[in-house]
Amino acid sequence: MKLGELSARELRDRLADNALVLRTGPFAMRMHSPLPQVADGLRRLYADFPLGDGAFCDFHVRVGPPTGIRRWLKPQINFWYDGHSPFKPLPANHAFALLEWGMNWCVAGHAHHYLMLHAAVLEQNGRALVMPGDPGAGKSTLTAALMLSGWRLLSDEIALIDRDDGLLVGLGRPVSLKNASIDVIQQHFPDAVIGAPAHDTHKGTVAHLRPTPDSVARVAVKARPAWVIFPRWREGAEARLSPHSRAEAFLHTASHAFNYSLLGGLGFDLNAALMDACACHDFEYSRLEDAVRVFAELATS
Amino acid sequence: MNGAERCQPLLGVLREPARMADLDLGEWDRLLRQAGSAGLLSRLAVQAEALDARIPAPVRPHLAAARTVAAKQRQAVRWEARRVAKALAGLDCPVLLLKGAAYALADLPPAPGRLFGDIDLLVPKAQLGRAEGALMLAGWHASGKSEYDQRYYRRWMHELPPMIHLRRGTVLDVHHNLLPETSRIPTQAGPVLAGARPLPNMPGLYVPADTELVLHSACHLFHEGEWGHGLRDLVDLDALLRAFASVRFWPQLLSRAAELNLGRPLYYALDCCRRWLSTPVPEEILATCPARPPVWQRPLMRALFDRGLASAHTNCRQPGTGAALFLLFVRGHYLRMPWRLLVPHLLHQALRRDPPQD
Amino acid sequence: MSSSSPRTWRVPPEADPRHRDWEDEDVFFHGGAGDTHRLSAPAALVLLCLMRSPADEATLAAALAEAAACGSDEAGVALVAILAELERLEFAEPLA
Repeated sequence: MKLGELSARELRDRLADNALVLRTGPFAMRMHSPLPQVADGLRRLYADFPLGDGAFCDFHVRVGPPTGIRRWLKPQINFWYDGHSPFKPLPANHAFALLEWGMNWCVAGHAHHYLMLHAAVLEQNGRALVMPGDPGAGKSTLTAALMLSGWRLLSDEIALIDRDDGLLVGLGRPVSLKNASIDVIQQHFPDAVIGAPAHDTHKGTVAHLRPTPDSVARVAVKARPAWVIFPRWREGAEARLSPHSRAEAFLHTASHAFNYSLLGGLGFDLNAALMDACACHDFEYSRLEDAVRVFAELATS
Repeated sequence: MNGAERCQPLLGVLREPARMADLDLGEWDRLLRQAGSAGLLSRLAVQAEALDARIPAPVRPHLAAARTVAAKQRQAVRWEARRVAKALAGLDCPVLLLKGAAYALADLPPAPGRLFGDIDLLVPKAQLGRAEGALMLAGWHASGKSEYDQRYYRRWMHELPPMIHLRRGTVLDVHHNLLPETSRIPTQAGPVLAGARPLPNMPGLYVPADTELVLHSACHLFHEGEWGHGLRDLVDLDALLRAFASVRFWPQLLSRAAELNLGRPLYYALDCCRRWLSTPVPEEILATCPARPPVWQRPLMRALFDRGLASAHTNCRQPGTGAALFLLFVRGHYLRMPWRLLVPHLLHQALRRDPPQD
Repeated sequence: MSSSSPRTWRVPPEADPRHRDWEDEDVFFHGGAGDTHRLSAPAALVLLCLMRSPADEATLAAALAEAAACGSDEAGVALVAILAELERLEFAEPLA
């Protein structure tokens, strides 16, 4: 059964009763929240996601007001992972963004069954593209555009590499967009479904883009890595791929990974296997449609 | 035993790891969270490795992840110990590893799947200054920015302020005794240093004798104010006792406890281990333990400690846990410092402004 | 600092190093410390020698000289700096 098949009422009730179990890629998340904006966000962005049977959940998460007297002092909310609160409280209207950050935190902090790199991952024609994230590089905008142009999204933030076969595993979750890129994407893709923005977060204005049905439907299909690409938006730049040193890419992905050092020698081997399997490029662009075209050519090459 | 009944399936599995093969998915869901909260997930994961085929598929990745974390920490502790040995090679005295680092380097039963934070070291008090100097040369620097913190540690406690390595961020706690100077139960470091045995592969590093490993673990736990890792420490004790138990060991343990004035915490340790983890402690050992508490006091202390041990996870807690934890916290401080120092200390802690968060 | 006889160097026990290279750039992993480094070609050459077996400075200098097609004096000077760097990264230590 999919989340979208629940009535609005049923969704809110299950969420409030700690009885909503959502499957996101390989993870079953038990979710608990009394907040209508969380229910609304889930309804808008996660309708295609399957519900879990709840017998065993990988993560138990809650977003809601703090317990006890503090709830009456300030309209703040917090994120809990099995009763532990890793973040500081936030204003109530950041609730959905907090849920998304919290779910990323759960995966990045615990799923050491995988090597986890800080990168976006998309797939087309059986080959996957890994885009390591540098802040301000325009990775999220590009990721959103590629997904909306036919690439299957595995993740906008976390590249999960299976330790047994080196393949990439998807989460298929909404793409996080910030500030100007929200409008850019909405303009280029008028049919794109974007959730209610949260203003004045520590990252500015944040909103989430609904994943394409194909990305959600095929989330269980692992992908073979083919390219590691470092994107960079630069005003007026021609869309252009150029070579990037694989040794340098290795060091970059290793130093920005979530658990490279934790995995020790295995992390080294998995990251090395990724570099072995991939062609490595820098990519510069300014116009989104040019970028999409260049990547389309790459996918058919 | 109310507390123990509520800590299922964690407690059942700690007593009998093979039971993990028979748990259903719902029980695994509870177990992973209880064990994770208690700091025991990696230990269970190591024990579960032999049973892997009988563990349900959705659970296995969590256990693999937990084993990975423990393996990494074990390797890191070994390497850090090497560096400590190198830094302190010029000191003409034994340098003892305590607790987690000792278990890891000496390959003792609590080691598999154990998670480590800081490395605890013990050096003779007379060498403390030289040890600190040598460590600073090698890149570790005392933390605890305020003068107050420095004084707290150096004058009143039994250790230097935690020393953090500038480049690696690893932390060393350098002690000169098992318990603070100001402690109500005075104990001596001399016999512990004298009884230590060298580590075969790390010249200059030693670990305490078996009896002292048990006594230190017991006095650390039962003088502790914070009980988040209480159950984990009890599991360490149980593992040590089971490994060392012998006709010779028990009387040695008691006589050493008397010598070091650690009979009281030892009593509590043996009692809790028996009740919680079914550790085979002979009845007469408990009955003849030096400095054992008067009979009337035992139910009260048991109730306190049980709640402390069960506080590891919310679904293990029972009524009165909040109050019990508070009492244990106060007791922990009370045991460390006399009132004339403790009251100003707690006031100072309450009034200080926390450093700005970034 | 002149030495009467060349020192022998080795990879420290438990350093457990691993190596990969792409397009002639070498990356090394230090298993004990958990660090990863990119080393220059001459440094990589020396470390790869030591990973095969402990070696004295004369042997290492000769290997450098051959690979770089330079004189043994030049190689000797370069070796001092390389060994200092490898020692700092804990990939190499002199035998007592």
